[in-house]
Amino acid sequence: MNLQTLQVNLLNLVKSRSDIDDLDDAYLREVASSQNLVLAKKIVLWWRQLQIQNYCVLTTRLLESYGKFEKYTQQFATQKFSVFSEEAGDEFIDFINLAEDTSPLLRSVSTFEKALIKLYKGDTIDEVIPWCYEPMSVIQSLLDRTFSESVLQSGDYEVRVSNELGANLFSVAEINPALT
Amino acid sequence: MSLSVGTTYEGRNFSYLKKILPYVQHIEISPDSLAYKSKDEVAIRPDCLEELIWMQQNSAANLLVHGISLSIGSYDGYSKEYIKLLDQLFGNLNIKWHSEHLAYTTVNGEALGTMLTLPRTTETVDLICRRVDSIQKRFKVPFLLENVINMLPMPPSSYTDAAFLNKICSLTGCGLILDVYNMECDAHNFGLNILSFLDELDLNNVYELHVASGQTDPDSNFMMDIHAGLVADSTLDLTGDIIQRNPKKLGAITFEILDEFIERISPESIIEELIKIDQIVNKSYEPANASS
Repeated sequence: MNLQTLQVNLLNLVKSRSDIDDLDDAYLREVASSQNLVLAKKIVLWWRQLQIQNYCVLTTRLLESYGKFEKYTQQFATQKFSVFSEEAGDEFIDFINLAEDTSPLLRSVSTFEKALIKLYKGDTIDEVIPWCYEPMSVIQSLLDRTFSESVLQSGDYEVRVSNELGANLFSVAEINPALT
Repeated sequence: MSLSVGTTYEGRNFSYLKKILPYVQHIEISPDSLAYKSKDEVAIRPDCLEELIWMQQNSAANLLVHGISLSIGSYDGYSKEYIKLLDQLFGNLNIKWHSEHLAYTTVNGEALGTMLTLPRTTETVDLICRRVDSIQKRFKVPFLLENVINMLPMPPSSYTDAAFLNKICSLTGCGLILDVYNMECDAHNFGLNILSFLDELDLNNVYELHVASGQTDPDSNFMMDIHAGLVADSTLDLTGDIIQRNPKKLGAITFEILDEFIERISPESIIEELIKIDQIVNKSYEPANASS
């Protein structure tokens, strides 16, 4: 077996895209049935979780409070992601935003956080993100690690993240407050 | 003259860097952890670069570079983005030597999410040597390769662990980082005979030793090289044993610690560890030319 065949097959095994039934080679079958492969996948997941926890704190804490962090990161770890942790962090946010079962709140929090990160990196940004709950209480409770359903106050809000806002970074506006 | 003792620095923790600088003779950085990618362009973060320039202007500590994502063993080519990061670092800083893991992290341009060792075959030796030659032509300081832990069973190979490293070094003139903890992992996980390995390895290619700790997976009892804490006595004992074999080019001992664990351990404990390592390694160190 040459290097190309070996590496492509091991990539597919580590990313759970193939299993022992797909393989003829004795060595690859040994790997596919080994505890080492289980462990390798565990380590890949551990690194991704560490990167994501460090990169997008608000999104991670919201996912954790919903008990979905493990599920989403497990799915993400089998995808194609960047070797650069910051780019992989952005890819993770895009990944959960595209997931069918992503809630509007999760979409708002993760999009808001991605915009803030861009701002922090020095990118030019002016983005308005719709929220269906009062944003400040959600953001504060995620920072304090006290988030629960009880902090959610329904309403129509927009959060603007922009370089134009200077040190404030973002602003919150309630849309049609009389109707809520 | 004594062995240089230093530790890793991942950037964006400038107060930590300033705190440890008086206790190290070198700092080892990973371009990957200092990099950002925006609009498809990869670069070293300006704030990180400024920290390192400040360090070189205000301290005598040497700067060593240790990569993760060059992926020197990928069949489809190594990372051009990583080379760009090196270009930027070498263009702005005085770097004593640089190194990479003898492994691969990408296949077909896709990240594995971990690092896998290479089969010890003639095909691999040829591929690695061509790439080492190319890197050595581009960057005019020593280039070192590091032994990585085996995570998966080793595929059929033509060389022993030590013969594989000896062959690459003899064909290219590159040096080695010997990761002491990784050797312990391979001994625990796959039965590597460390003494035989050291007997066979040409230790005169070793410029640097890495010491670290790790974690053991409770389900499989597998030792993993996750740099999460202080160095075990067994690792320091083995480090002393290697130093007593008097590797002629050995110049540095690096304590590796992941950024995520610095606050958990505390910077003060890391400083105590650096002092302890310095005392241990320099007690058993005899400069190569001292007896001649």
